Amino acid sequence: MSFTEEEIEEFLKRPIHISKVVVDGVSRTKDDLIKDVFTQFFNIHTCEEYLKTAQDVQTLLNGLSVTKGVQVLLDDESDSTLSVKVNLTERSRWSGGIKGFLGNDQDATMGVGGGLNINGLFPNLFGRAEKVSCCWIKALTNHRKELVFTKPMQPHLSSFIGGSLFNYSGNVTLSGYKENNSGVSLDLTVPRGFFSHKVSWQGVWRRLLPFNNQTCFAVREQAGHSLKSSLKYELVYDDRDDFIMPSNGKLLRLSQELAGFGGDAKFYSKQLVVQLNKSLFNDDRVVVQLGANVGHIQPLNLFKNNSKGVSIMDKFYLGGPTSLRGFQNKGIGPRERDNALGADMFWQLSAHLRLSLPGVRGGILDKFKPQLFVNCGNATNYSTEEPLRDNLRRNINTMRVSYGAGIVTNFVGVKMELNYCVPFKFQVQDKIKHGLQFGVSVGD
Amino acid sequence: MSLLQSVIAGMDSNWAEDATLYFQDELTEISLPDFAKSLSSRTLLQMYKLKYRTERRSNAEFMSPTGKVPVFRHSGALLTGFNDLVSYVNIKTKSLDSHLDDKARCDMNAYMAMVEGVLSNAEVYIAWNDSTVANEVTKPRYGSTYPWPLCQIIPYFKQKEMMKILSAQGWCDISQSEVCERVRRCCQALSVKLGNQQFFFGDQVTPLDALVFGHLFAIVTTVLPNNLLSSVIQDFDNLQELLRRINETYFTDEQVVSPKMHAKAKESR
Repeated sequence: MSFTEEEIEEFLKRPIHISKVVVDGVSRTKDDLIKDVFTQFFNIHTCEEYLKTAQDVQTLLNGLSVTKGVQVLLDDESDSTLSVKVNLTERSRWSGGIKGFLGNDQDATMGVGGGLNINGLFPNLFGRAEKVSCCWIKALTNHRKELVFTKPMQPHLSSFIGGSLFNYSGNVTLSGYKENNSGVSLDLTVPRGFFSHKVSWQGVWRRLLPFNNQTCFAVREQAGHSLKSSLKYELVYDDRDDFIMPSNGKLLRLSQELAGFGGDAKFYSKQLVVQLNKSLFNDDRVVVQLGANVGHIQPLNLFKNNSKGVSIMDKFYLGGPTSLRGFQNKGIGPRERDNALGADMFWQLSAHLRLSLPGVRGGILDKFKPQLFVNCGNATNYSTEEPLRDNLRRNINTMRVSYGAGIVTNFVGVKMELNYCVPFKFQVQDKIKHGLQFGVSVGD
Repeated sequence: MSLLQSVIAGMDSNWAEDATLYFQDELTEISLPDFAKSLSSRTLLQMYKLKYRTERRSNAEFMSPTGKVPVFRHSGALLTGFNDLVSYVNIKTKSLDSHLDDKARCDMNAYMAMVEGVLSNAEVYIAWNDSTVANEVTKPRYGSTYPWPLCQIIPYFKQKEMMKILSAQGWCDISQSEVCERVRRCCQALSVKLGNQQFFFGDQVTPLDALVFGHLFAIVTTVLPNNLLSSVIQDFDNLQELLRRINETYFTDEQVVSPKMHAKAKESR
């Protein structure tokens, strides 16, 4: 049986009225949550709306980890009214997994790290889509333990409140220290269309120790315990059509962090990420991407006994295959001997031209996209003794630039790229990387 | 001026003036064992008449490559511990023990090992193992630089760490009277060695004098709820005399860590 386009259009526009929703297969989930999910069926007027709502409900329930399968059927009640019959398959009380992973690790000797991830999930704990997940990740240079609780804010099921307890310890060899952070966080996420707002509070006990005897004195001076209690607000606008290799759309992420509600880390930090993608010739095969990334951090008052200002753990770093290409990880900015000390402010601009291999459409070869890029940026400290203008001028005068070409691909949700990079403008103390550079990143 | 003297003088003038000792603040933070160690190192540098600065850093023990205070930094070199400081200064300038013969130098090293072994452990014992001193003085002082709730948590873990060190040295499960007895025996040996001399090896100071001064002066002048150790030292008149002599010779009025000042800080807490 086949329909013409007009027939389908006519079908989609056909008015319907749903008078009853029957939900089957509910055992642990509470009635009020089910009602919040399915009341939207009573507001629909056309077949098209019905199909969209059925799809949304499936995505929502699976996203909340309440169900693993949702079947939505339309039943004839009488000529004028319809009823919806839903068959749910709830998830089991818990699930877990063990997996190994490989990825970029700037602190491992070869730049590539890996490890083991053991995780557990307890979905729909009390019947209202509460979720507890825990993970234990042991990698070559770091170790993370985490317990996370999230709960949707009924009746707005896409908004979440959450909390977590975590411990993270790792070696930051490029900056010559090792850290051990234990903390607690609370957050609230409210998505509205393409926008998403996230407010979170974090309290972290941070222990910083020199990595070894090679650690420079500037890092040693910052060793010891510190407590960060910070409020963070993140605003994201994202209408890109793909997270890894978008061909159209914009990303804007503004995050601000204010630390100093209790604790001895006191700073105000802000960062802005903008990305614009546009495919040329109304075809996804040639895409221009422009990106900007700017950040600034300022101490709110000096540390009690010495003028450390902002801790090395909170500062910004620039350089690396997923940051400013053509430089080694943390290769730009203030450093003492081999240790990157981080900067108070940084900026980075990049332009990409992503092409498709000629003559191949579809198939595995089409997944590898050649790209040309040029990127520039700088990371410097802000000197309070100079006026803002001099600070900016110093920053611009020592700008770093590099360009190159390479191949990029989306490998099961991970962006992998191999680029030949040519550092064009750099400073003597920079750690440059002239030649092939391999990068792995998730998103952006 | 002989050639040797001029060489020594030349080396002396090479002493870069960026020498710095880092340790915690005496008035509000430092614990008795760390105070003793810092004072020994300071005394040593005073005896050599070397220019140095002192800087109070509450995170001194974390800056240190070995976890010990004080941390000594001089033209790129970073070292901790009294013995390392003695060796370093001996290489950089003239040595304080050059007037000793080999036997006397061996004696001195043995006495220094004894002082480090007995007095350091006794200080840790009193500061961290005596519950009154630990809870009323050491822990609040140690935690004073941290915000709540770290000021409660960190001293607790530090105490556990110190107890571990003590028990590894066999100093954990002994009674206070046993500690006193060990300190008494140590002081007895020092007192006999000192006799009626100006310093331990005659008229000239040696690193042993600096080490003993640091430990005993810290014990005597620190006012604690439990003054067990200082009462042991009170019994040895010639040691007391030595403390007074070194204090007057090598520390000016401002530099002296006056017992009154130290006690006041404790009271004000």
